[in-house]
Amino acid sequence: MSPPLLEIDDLTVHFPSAAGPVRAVDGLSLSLERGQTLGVVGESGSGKTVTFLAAMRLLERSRPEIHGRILLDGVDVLTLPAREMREIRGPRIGMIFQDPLSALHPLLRVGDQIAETVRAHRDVGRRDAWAQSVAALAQVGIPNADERARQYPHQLSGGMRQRVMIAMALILEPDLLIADAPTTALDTTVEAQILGIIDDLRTRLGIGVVLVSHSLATVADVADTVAVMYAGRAVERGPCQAVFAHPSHPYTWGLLDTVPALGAERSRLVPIPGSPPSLIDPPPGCRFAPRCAYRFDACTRHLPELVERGGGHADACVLPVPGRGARRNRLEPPGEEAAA
Amino acid sequence: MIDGTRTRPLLEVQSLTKRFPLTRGVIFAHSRGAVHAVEDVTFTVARGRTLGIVGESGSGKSTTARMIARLIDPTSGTIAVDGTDITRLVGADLRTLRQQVQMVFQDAYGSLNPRQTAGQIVGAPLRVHHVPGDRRAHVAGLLERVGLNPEHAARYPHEFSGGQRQRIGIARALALSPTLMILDEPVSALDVSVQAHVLNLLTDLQDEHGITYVVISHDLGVIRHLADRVAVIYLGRIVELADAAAITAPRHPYTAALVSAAPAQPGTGTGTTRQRIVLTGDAPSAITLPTGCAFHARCPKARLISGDPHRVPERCRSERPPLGPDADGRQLACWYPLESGDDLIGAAQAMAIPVSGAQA
Amino acid sequence: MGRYILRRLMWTVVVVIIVTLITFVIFYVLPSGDPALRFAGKEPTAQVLAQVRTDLGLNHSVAVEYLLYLKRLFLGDRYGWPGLGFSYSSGAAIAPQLWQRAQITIQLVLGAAVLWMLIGIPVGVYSALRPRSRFDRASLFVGLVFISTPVFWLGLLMLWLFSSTLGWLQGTGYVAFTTDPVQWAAHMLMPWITLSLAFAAIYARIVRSNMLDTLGEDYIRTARAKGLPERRIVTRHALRASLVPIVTLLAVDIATLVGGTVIVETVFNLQGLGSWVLYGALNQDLPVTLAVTLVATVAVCLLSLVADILYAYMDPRVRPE
Repeated sequence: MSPPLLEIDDLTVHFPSAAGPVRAVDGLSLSLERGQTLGVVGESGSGKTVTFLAAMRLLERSRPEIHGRILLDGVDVLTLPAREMREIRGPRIGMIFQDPLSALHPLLRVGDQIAETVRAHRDVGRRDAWAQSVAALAQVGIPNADERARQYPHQLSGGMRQRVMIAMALILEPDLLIADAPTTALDTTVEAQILGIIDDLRTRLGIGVVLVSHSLATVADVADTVAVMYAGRAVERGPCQAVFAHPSHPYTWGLLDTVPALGAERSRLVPIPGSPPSLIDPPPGCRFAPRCAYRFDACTRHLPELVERGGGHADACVLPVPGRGARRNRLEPPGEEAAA
Repeated sequence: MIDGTRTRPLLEVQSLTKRFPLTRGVIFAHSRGAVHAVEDVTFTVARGRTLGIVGESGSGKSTTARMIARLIDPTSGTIAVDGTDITRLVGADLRTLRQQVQMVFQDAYGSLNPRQTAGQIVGAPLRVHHVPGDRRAHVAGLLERVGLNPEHAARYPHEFSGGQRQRIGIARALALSPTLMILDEPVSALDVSVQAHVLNLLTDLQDEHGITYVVISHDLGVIRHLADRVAVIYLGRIVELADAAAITAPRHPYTAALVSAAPAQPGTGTGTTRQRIVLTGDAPSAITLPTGCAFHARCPKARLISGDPHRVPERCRSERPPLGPDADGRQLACWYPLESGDDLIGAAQAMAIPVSGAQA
Repeated sequence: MGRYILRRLMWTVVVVIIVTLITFVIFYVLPSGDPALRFAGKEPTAQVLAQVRTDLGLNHSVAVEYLLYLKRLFLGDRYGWPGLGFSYSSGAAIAPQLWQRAQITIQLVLGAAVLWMLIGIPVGVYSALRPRSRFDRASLFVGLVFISTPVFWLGLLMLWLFSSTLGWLQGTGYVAFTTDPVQWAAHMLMPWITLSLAFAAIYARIVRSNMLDTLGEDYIRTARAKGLPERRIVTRHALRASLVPIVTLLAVDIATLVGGTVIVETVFNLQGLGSWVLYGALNQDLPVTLAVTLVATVAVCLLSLVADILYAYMDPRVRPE
């Protein structure tokens, strides 16, 4: 059996700080098969972005302490020499970012920015690389691609810019696309276009996609599997349908309940009380316990690991499995956030 | 209080228009066209109620908000607060208006002075408008009211979390007991678990003080949650204005696209795959507005009417549909409003395929 | 673009009028005595004094004299166009001397500018790539020394060291390039170095901080994410963006130096504009002062226009559509 396309095994990323190491990622394990989409959901500070910047080895300027393994097709990218890592970025993994305006160089034509990606890895002429970049722009649905290629990022709309980023990330036909909150800065109707393009390219090129987002609903449309992150750890993981329809970790319940949804009867929102824990000095036991309405003694005694509950659906909660759904419905909604 | 003032809407906006002129010239500037930011926008908001304005970036929703708060002046049209046209106010009258109408911004961090403490920020309106009384106690009361610890009045903005900063912004807006609050994307910079706290706070404040809200957002879920009535704005014009409950059954094709893109109600076990109406292309330029209906180039319903994914009925291209009431009393600007059974998703998908059909 | 340049040139005329007016007013208001007395010889009679006043053009009120000056400036005088008049002290026409001296000053300033950019940019880039390294700290220290050293002292030190003691370079004075290129370079090298060291230090610090800011930008992360070689990221992506603000700075610095290289020109005995304006001010020679002020003003206006055009060329975001 061939290894998964991407396998993250017990990853920890600690950043040095005056007050002690910041545990941005603390014991995370994930995997992704070729041709699938993994949705990674979490709020700011949950470690979701740091994880994938670590996979690209783009954190080195912050001098983090990284342990664990990040395997791409069975090869640990964390141990690769810098020269070989440069051949991973682009040809093997493409990455797109949250704000396409700041992610594109403001002084270079978008066609040149794509063409230089080709020329950095392939022995092709200037003209050939330009033609390839125009073709890539057309492939992501940019009309008049040869004209657009000659424009600068500020001359394009937000949706167009993110398409440019996608074209740039995929021009070398990598095996894996990491999309870090690609639609956060975009309007909702444009978000639909961008997610559609990514999904279309995934099926056509057979690549694996990691879709990082702060919204479970965004991920739910396109992801095959979902991982929910909290304070540097995965608290729930499983097939998208199962997690969305039968969330089993109280944090996931909170995330879903707290979103004002269309179509629902308008009622008071049920927020998650408190605020995320310190990553320098995390609470003992379950990181979510201080905010959890269902905690009991065991929660603060030891840190729960992800436990498979059947059908690939796993959660890191010590709450007894039987009657979990009933418990969610029976208990009173948690109270308001305590005064700061 | 006299009955007449009670029944009169607190906010009446009539034919509000804002054009930002584009000029050029060596010595004497001459006009070279204009950005049509807001065009002929009319609505009213009853006292103690909430109007939601939803639209995408560049639709003119923030310009509208800023005009109501008199941060920018309209090109034409009137804005009446409590029966008084505020567009021409100057001097003392304008200062009175500034007490009455307050604004809460999206970027709480950017709108708070980093060198002032939370107490100074919240107390500033009291100082500027010479409100008598014990200012310290007043500020403490305001901080407590928005769910912050009054003892943290001496802290600086960077010492607070995003949600707490937004609470400081709300406390500052509350300081002068406004009758109207303009909320410009009040929660879109916040994490989802924090959003709910702020939304609940806004609801409570309205219930207690009877403040009238105008909420601007691109998030239909937030709008649906806060608003009584919703105005959908596209390229500077209102295309649909309806009760919040009715907006989930839209009649304008653009509203339908927005609704289909909003998060479905999660966790209900009903499955995840929602069908989105994926519009093609971007909104047209606000400098050279399209003729006819501004939405016609992206409209899937127009393709259903013409029966051809690449053609639009003549009327949509040449005549601009006026905003008028339909049978249920909703305001609508569309020649061919949605009927039940219209397959907009299919029509939108057909539009995405180029005429040649060569590209997959 | 054409309209923009035209409008800026018209502004230049306005600025010239304002600056010369201020110079005029300062000259007349300063309590330095009657300039006519200075040039009328010892114990002049009233008649001689009046004659000198008429010759120098000091017999009208300030306002009338200024308008006459503007008229001659824009329409030309007996020495040609632009009408810059003659020097009170030497009686010679201003224009030919101005040309000659401007050439020397421009050679001095441009040469120094090339030098300080050649030193400042690489030092700044290297410091930014290894912040807090030994090289970074050393460059900061040496830079501080150069910035705080008085220019005249630095100049004299160099003369003593390289000319008197070691005899490697020629002493003071100027030799035209067309006369003897080697001698020209030998004479200009020390003035260039003296003028450029403080600027090199300042530019190195500015390039360093611009580079550090740029290296933290999202688009640099994108460049790394697409696997570009580090050398290309530094040169094509980071340095390019870092140098855009330098252009404006450079233009203003060069323009300011055109009328302000007083010390270096004096120490190295270069007959340029800086030493001339000092002479004009000390000798109440109004036309000389006005001429140099005029050149400096026009230089500032034109170079800042050039800087803005270059800026638009380098940064597409400020280009007119």
